[in-house]
Amino acid sequence: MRSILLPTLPTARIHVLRVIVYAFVILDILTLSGDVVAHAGNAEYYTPLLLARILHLPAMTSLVAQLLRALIIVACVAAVAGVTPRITGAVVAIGYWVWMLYSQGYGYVAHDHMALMVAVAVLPTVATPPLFGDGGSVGSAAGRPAGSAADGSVGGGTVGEEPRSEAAGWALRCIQIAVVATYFFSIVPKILYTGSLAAWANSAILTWASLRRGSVLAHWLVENVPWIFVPAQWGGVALEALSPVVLFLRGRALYVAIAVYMSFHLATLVLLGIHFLPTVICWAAFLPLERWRELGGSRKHRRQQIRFAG
Amino acid sequence: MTVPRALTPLGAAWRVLALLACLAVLVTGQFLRSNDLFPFGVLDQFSSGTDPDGEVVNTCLQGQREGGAPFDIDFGPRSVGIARADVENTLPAIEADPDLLAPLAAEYDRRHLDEEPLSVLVLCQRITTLRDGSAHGEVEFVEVTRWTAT
Repeated sequence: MRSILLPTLPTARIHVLRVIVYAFVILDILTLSGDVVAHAGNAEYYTPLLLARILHLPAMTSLVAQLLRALIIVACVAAVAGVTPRITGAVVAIGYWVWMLYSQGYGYVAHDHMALMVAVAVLPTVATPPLFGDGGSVGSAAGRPAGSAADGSVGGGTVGEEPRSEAAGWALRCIQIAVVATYFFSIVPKILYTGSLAAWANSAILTWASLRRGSVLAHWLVENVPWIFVPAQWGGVALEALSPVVLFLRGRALYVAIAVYMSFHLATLVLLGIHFLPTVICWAAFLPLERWRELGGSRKHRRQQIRFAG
Repeated sequence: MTVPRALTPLGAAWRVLALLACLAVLVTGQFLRSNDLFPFGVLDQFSSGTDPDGEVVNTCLQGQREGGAPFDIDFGPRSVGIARADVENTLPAIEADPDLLAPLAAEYDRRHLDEEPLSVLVLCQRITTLRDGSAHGEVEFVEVTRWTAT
């Protein structure tokens, strides 16, 4: 069980994932969840969710929205730049959760942000040595001796080894589980609302979605080959029901699975304009992102060789 | 060779408990069909199957200026300041109090300062009948409620 929930994974993967996640958060609050600023004019529609009620968050105002957005952007930039990433990451986590409570607190609640919200919450829990530093001796993070890292880890390594930790593994596992849960648990309301997965898969839900928000291609399919939606719905249900398997895949099988899910999102984007980008981004937690470090390191090495040769 | 860095028992315990607690809330949210537990609420987007011989309701907005003809207005933060789904989930309240459309008209006017302000904003539905999972017949236009400037 420990190896499943607390695998020992490279802390360099956290470094790269921070860049991806925080860069996307900036994009998200400026575009996808940018409705928070507009919601300042719709106080009558504010229906605070449970967390918002617990925090006594009042309806959004234009000034607060702009200030909150500025705070999140500054914290994201600082975290990407490596400026006390755990502290700036914590600021992002708090700010972004509040932001999303406002984005989703005006009538409709979408569920494409769950994994991203988990990601911003767990990333600051991981202590990471410098990415391109002295080789990142484990235990030296934040100047602490081995055996007393700030994220509650013990043990250590030696200079030149690739740092790995259970703290990094837990954070990555949380994001992976959140991604999978986004698909897997969506089968529960399908069963509750329609009686069975078969009833949902045999329904006209994609026709419904196509007529409401479909692209030209989607409308063409409705008019000419409407039967195609039923096998597509069965395919979608299969992807959702089988999604936990991805947690146990490795190597080529994992890459194939990720490609299949990306194809699914590409199809919904092309047909319905539904991108699920906040979840798509979090699929990066399944990838060996630490190899980007090797790529960066080898490029750095090549640049040095060129300089010496010159 | 790398040396795994293990978590302390306390560090491991709170992490595992936090993960299990979030999963428990997520499962609870599904069976309660509650969005209130956001971000771990019910994952119910597109979860209601549509009857292949039923109908598709497309909520719409139509604006009108003094003496002018009705024209379609998009939903969204860059138009009326709120998404269609937000309005659809507030439909009963809007039917009971059409003045809830006033901030939408105000936001639209704010973005079109060079034009006359809206005198009427209609919340409408375009209803498509389905037969064997495909669109059938003419689209029916239904006015749900309207806001009139005072």
